[in-house]
Formats: sequence, structure tokens, C-alpha cells
Amino acid sequence: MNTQSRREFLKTAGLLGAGIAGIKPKEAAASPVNIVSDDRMGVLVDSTVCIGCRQCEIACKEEHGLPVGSLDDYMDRTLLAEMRRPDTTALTVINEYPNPKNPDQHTDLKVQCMHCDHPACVSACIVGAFSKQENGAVIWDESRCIGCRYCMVACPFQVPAFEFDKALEPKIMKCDLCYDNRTSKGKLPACVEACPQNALIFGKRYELLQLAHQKIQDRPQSYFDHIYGEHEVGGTSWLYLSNQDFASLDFPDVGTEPMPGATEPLQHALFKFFIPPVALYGLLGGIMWLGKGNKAEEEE
Amino acid sequence: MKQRLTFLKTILFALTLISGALAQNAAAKHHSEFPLNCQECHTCKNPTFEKPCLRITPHLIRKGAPSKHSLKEAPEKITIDLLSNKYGPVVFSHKDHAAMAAMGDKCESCHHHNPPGKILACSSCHDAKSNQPSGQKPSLKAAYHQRCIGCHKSWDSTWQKKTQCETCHAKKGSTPLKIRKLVNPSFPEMERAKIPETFTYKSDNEDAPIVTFHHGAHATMYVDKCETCHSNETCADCHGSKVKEREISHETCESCHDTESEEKCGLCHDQKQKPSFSHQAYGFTLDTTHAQFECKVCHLNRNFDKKPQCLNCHHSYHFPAQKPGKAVRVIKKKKAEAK
Ligand code: SF4
Ligand code: SF4
Ligand code: SF4
Repeated sequence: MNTQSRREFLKTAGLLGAGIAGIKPKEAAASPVNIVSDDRMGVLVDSTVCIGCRQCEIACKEEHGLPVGSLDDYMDRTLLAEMRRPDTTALTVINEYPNPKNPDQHTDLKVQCMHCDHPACVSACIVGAFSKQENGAVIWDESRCIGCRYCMVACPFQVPAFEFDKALEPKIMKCDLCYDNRTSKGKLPACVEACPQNALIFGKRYELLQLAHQKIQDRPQSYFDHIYGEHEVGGTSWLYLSNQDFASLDFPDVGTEPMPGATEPLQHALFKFFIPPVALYGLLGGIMWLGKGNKAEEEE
Repeated sequence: MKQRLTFLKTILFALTLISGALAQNAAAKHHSEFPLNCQECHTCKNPTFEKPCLRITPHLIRKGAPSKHSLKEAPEKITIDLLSNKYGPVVFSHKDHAAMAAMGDKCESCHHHNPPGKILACSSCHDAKSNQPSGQKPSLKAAYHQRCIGCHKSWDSTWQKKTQCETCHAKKGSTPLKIRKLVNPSFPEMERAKIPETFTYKSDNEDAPIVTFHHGAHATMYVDKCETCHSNETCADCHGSKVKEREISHETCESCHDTESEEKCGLCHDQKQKPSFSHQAYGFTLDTTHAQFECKVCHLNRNFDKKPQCLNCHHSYHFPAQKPGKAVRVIKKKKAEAK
């Protein structure tokens, strides 16, 4: 399927959606919340000092009421040999890679939602359940979510996870920068507070970038000269320093342009105005079909 | 009227505070008054207490105050209990670590940015209250962990399978607190007493290719400090899973041994491993009294070819049957060993 025809379809569908709601397309262009404030916060992950102790994983689970299990299990490092992704049981995980600078050591890396400045999940969500907050956090609103899972497809880092095992009210799960109970109240995210190494530094994003650049400049022998997240997908709130090329740490090469959500032209009308359920599901069906085509195209 | 009184009171109070501060200043000068190059530690022009704009630590450019202090002053053990909640206090073998650091980045490897004067504890700069870094400085907890684990996770082979908090932290309630010996495949217990004994090398000398280096004898008898030979070492050079192979050449030994004259080759080179030198083999027992002296006390001008004369120091001496005569030379003992 070529891009042109998909766009045509979207336009038509958008008009249709707006038509159903009885408004002109222009008026439908009310954005979901997506603030990119100059003072937004972020977290700098200095993976050169991370020791892979997984205290951050424990703290995150405790903070979000997820089962922690036996603390001794977190001491077992053999599990780190396998690459893991954040899922519904753990919003953040540690992965381990060889350390090219020191064969006696490893490079450990924390993975979670990057809290993009121009989040594809926010763009993709047709009901505005996702939003970028003023402090940088990208959060998800349970009451709005309809379970379409577009966010999962749109996210360039494959972060949002879906509780497939729950028949009733399954949730989308991802790192929320501890927004509700911590960062919205000026407190540190749980993982940052727990990290015994200060491998995670919470602060204003622009200050973290200054610090990261200074670290690279002061100790060029320790760092790979790149801050992942400074420009990737238009910038992210989580920023990474490393001792090696990010490609060898499973960071995707996502370019520096924000990822648009495939459903962007539609969502505003849908989210802002009430739409009869039948029309909504009709549209969703069409969009899902599009999303599928999109994915197949990428895989080609 | 009442207002004015309060105002006066405030002023008085402030004055007392200021004079107090001044008196303190007179006793301990602020380091900015010393002839130092600010840029070695600070990145901005006007560092303040809140915003010290310190270089990323540890930064080893400046050989600061620690170089003026000796190992002898170093405290033996330091108990770190400022932050213990889940675990009991950590007992840090400070002097042992200081002795090891002497072979590498010296005291500055931990006491970086130490202004002239007293050696400062980690807690005098690193914040113990919050786990958030202040400025460029890690919190106290992170400062400890970064300094310790940076090395400890690298040579401790079991760390690869298990995160070993208990290497340093004993679980609360478990007694006694003891620093666990690090397990290493090459050196089961890396202590000063267990320094490697003998190394053999193969040289390109065709007649006598084997060179024997009695490391243990050198370390205990001939040199008083490890750093006489070992400098710029990293922890992993000795403790790593693979001990660093060191380049050895005539230059390594020539500061003490004559590597030029052909008759002397046999001192180190042979066809097989050579036994260690023993005073006993030459009819002299290096007893505890004599072992305390520096070599040159008996071997005048460090001339090891000539057998030392007892009469150089003793009034009269009839070896081996009789007691030595009165000492005629007062000899200073070797400086106390760095341990
Ligand atoms: S708590 Fe800190 S040091 Fe430990 S694994 Fe997480 S980020 Fe790394
Ligand atoms: S990483 Fe994915 S889930 Fe997180 S903000 Fe970016 S697009 Fe959204
Ligand atoms: S910021 Fe909060 S939700 Fe995100 S990984 Fe850290 S603890 Fe978990």
C-alpha cells in the first residue's frame, strides 16, 4: 500500500469522523496535552557507573504496587545474560552487555520509557489517554484508554506493555516517571532515589545535558562521545551516557525527527468530541487495517 | 519602640555571628587564600559553596594536600556507619587500601580536590542527607559505592554470577563484622604477607636463558616500600582475573644490580631456576637484629662483592663461637615498614 493512498484514506476518514460529530475539520484540530516546557525534567543515566544491582527495579515495583518477590533473586546475575524488555510485571529492567574497555567488567543498562519530547504514543493515542506533562513525564490515563494498543505499535522503543492476561480492564503499563506520587510533587523518582551509585541523576533536562557534555569532555577515555536522547526522535527526557556505541547496546537508530503517530489526523476529532460508538468502531477497524499495512511496509 | 528593640537585638545577634565566623577564619584559612590554580579543580571563574562547579571527580591532575602526608598517619580502619540502615556498618581497611593506592593513583584516588591542610573525610563534601547529587558531586552513599564497587566488581570473579553486597556489608544482626577476603584465582588471599614469591623469565641469553627473580625476598628484605618498584598500577593489575604481565629488562634491575659487566650475568641468569640468595649459605645468620638494617649499613657503598667485615661495626668479633664485641658504630634502624 503506498503512502499517498493511505493519506487519502485518512483524510476521508477524518472528514467522515468530523462530519459525524457535526463539525468542520478545522475545529477538530484541538491537540491532546503535549507540553514541551523549557524547565522540563529528565533523568541522566550514566551507564559507566551503573553496576547492575537492580535496586532500581525493586524500587520501581514497590512504588507501583507490583509484586517484588524475593529480594535475593535480584542478586542473581546470571539472569542478566538474557536481553529483557520492560513489561507488565516490571516497568524498568537492567540488561547487561560486554564492556569493551574492561574485560573484567560488564556494561549494565537500565531500560524504561524514554519520555520523548514529541511522544509517538501521545500522537498515536486516538482518545488522548496519553499526555506529555509539563515536567517532562509522559503518562497514561486509565479512564480514557479503550485498549486499542496503537501506542504499543507507535512507540519507537517498544515500551508500552499491555496486560494481555487480564480479561477485565487490562491496563497499558509503562514507566510514568513516578508522576502521580513523586515527580509532580517535586520528589525524586523511586528508581533514582534507590540507585546506590547515582547512575541515575534527576534534574532539569538542559542542566543534565550540560553535565553530560562536561563528563564526556572531562573524561574522554571513559565515554563514547554521544548522548543518546539529546536529539533522538526529537529529544527525550531520559538521556544516556555509555562507554561504547549505542548500537551495540540495542538502542535503535531512530533518527532525530519526531515519530508521527499513524493516526494523528484523526485523533483530535475523536478525542475532543463525542462520536457514536458504531462510527468509532468502524473507523478503528479502518485504522487498524492501515496500521497493519504500515507495519508490513516497514518490514519490507 | 518594641519594633526597634527587636531590630537592635537582631543586629547584635548578627554581629556575634559574624565575629565568631571571623575568629574561625583566622584559625583555618580558606583554601582560596593559598597560591593554587583554581582551574585545576573548578570549571567556573567564581565558585561558591552552593555552586562549586567542580570538575568531574575523581580528577587526578592536582597532586594536592595528600602528597604532603605519609602512610604512617593513615588511620588503620574506618567504620562507615553514617548510612547503615539495611546493613550493619562497613569496616573499611583504610591503611591497607592506602598502601595499595601508593602504587597507583596515590591518596588522591579517593581524596581528590583536597585543599591544603587537613585530609578531609568523604562526608565533609559529599551530602549524606539526600541521594540526589548536589552540583557535580555524587551523594555520600553514591560516592562510597562508586569508589568501592568500581574496583570490587571487577576482579571479584564471583560478582559475575551474584551481586555481592555482603563483600562489604554484613547483614544487620549478623556478627562478627569482618571484611571478607577477596577470592582470586591467582592469589587466594591478597595480603601483604602473601606477596608472590618467585618469578622466572626466559631471556635470549643462549647459555643461561632462565632468569630467576625472587620477588618475595626483594619485597621483604631489600626494598622497604612496594612503590619503590610498583608505580602507576591499577587495582586490576594485581587483583584482576589475569595478573598483568610485566615487561622486565635490564633497566628494571640496573638501579641496584650491575647489568653491564659480563662476570655478573650469573647472578640472575642460569640454565635452571636459581635458589634465592641466603646469607646463611655464606656463613652468616641474618638474625632479627641485623635484618632491621638497610643493606648499605653492612655492605658499604652497596658493594655486594666484598664480604662485609664485622669489625666495621663491632669492637671485636670471633665468629662463630663468641658473642660480638661492643658496637663501635651507632646504626639507625630501617624506617618502620609501611604497614
Ligand atoms: S540501581 Fe542504579 S546502579 Fe543499580 S542497576 Fe539500577 S541504575 Fe544501575
Ligand atoms: S518511549 Fe515510547 S512510550 Fe515512552 S514516551 Fe516515547 S513513544 Fe511514548
Ligand atoms: S521513573 Fe518511576 S516508573 Fe519510571 S522506572 Fe523509575 S521508578 Fe519506575
